[in-house]
Amino acid sequence: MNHCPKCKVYIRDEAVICPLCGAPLAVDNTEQRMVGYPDVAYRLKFMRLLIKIALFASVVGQGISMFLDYFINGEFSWSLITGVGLAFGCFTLVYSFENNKSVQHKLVGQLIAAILVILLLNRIIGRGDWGLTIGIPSAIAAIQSGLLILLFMKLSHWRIYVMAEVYIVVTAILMFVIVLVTKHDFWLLSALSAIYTVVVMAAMVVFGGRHATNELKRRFRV
Amino acid sequence: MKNREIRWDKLDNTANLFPVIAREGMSNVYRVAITLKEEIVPELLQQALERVLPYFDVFNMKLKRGLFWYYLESNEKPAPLVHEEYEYPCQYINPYANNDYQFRVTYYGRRINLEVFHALTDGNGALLFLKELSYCYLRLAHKELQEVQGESLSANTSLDSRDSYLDNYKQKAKKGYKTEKAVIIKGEKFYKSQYGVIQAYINLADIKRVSKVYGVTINQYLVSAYTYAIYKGYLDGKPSSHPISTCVPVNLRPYFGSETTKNFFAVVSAVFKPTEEHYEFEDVLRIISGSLKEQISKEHLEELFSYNVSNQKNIMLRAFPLFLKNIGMKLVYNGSARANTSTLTNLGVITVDEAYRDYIESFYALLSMSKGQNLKGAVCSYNDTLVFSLSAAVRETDVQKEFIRRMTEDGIHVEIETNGVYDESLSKM
Repeated sequence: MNHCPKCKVYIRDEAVICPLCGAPLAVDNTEQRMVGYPDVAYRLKFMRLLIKIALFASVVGQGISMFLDYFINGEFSWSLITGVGLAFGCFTLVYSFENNKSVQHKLVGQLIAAILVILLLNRIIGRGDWGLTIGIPSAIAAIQSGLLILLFMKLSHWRIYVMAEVYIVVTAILMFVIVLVTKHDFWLLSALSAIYTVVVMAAMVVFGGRHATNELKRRFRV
Repeated sequence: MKNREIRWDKLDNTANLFPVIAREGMSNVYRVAITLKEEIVPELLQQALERVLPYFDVFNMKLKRGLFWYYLESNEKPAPLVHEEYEYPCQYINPYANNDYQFRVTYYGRRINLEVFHALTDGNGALLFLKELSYCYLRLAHKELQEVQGESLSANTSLDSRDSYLDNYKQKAKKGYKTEKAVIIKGEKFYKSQYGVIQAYINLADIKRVSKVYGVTINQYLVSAYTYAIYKGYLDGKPSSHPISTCVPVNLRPYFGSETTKNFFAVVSAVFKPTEEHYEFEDVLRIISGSLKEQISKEHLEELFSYNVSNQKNIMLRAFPLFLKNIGMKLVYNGSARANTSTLTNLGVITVDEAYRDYIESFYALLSMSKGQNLKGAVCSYNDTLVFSLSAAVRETDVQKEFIRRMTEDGIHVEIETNGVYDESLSKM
């Protein structure tokens, strides 16, 4: 076991420099008694490099888009849309691979991000309020369908989607109410998406029976 | 479709905080580990886990989020997969990649690691599970042990999962926690998931002798030496307007006759404020041991946790939705985090059943980092060795150096081991 004459301590691992004071160790050929730890540094370095490459590519891509847009049109127009798309793509990539979020969490998070992106694109492009009357109800319907697919893929775990479904229903009804209150002529899609989500929720409660109501009771326990 | 009634349980009082503040970089996951005298066979370890897990309700749960509270639900998925250790210790446990379990079992060489999210249980609860897991593993690896011991759990293992905080709290307790801003150890930080470990293997007889000479307990000596190391290594022995406050978790089970496998501990603070120009170690020892003696009494410990439980039972606070409670808890936590410099936990002397003693070499424990605390210590003893594990989020090792040198100057034999992060060629990324 190597030994630090300054700290008067014996080192069990294969260090040649004292980890406490940085002094060279006195070499001793007696048996090392260590189990040790794995070498983690190399693996983390590689993953960080991949993330940096993806980020760099996004920034360069957006820069080129804005340059070309201004060069051709004399102003920033379509490059704003690519910017929003790239930002949403990066968000989706990072958020989807985040470790501390469930699938349900990611569904609801993507729904909120999709709504914001649609509203932003509507503002950039203009041409009426298609975001509120067409874009958002379509996004809600798509997310609802995604949840149904996941649910049928693993029917035995249907309970874990109950709260996500509650959030989707509340969002759909809220968007429908906003469309009505703001007196938009085309409210049909909002109504249909709200009805779709309510039907799915009702099916969960009816077919789930006591287990669905107990799940809701646990979630809403004060 | 499986539609059996789900078994569920509330989180204990301490556990309510951890899901709120846990994230990558502040995982609230701790490790207890056992080193055997033989290499670990992963297939046998997986079998042992699958056999032992169903007995432990506390570990056999998944964390769920309600509208007002987090809660635990029985987990019907297979036991998490045992794998070789490949990350830094005490990393965030992603339940969605771990069959919804809030703990992980890994191995490396002759060591079995059990890493637990603190919402499940404390170190004492985790040790019970680790010991049973190890016993089962050894029975599978050694047929002669199985013939003698059979398949039942040890008679010394408790399976009680009561919330002892609720069983023992007193209503209308006054606030027991201090909030004065303490010294915060700063330095060049490691990367988010990097984690520096220095383990000191200390001869137990030496430390008993030295503590006796000073007229204090081993715990008082260690906390004092640790505090003195912060004073010398971080403050360079200079006065400070802020105190060095070391959190010392205290196991409440002996005081209240509890055998719960859930969390049941309270935290006291050993406080030393260096207002004078110069302090010797004996001065710090006197102040710290006095501070600990004053606080570690049944009445004071009861006041500490009763205050937290009475908050939990307050009907006005209960009615707040979880997301608002989380905001409130984070604010209170961030405020109180500045009141503590570090944490030093002592799991005490670990005993094992006699039949397995010849197969077990040592135990150790490790804590993860938390807000404002970039250095922490964990202690446990087995046979004639006390293992003091120092985990850090900063590169500087002045405090660790002063701590080890304090003990070697007192004539204590110390051997150390690191996890390689302090090696310059590996840790610069």
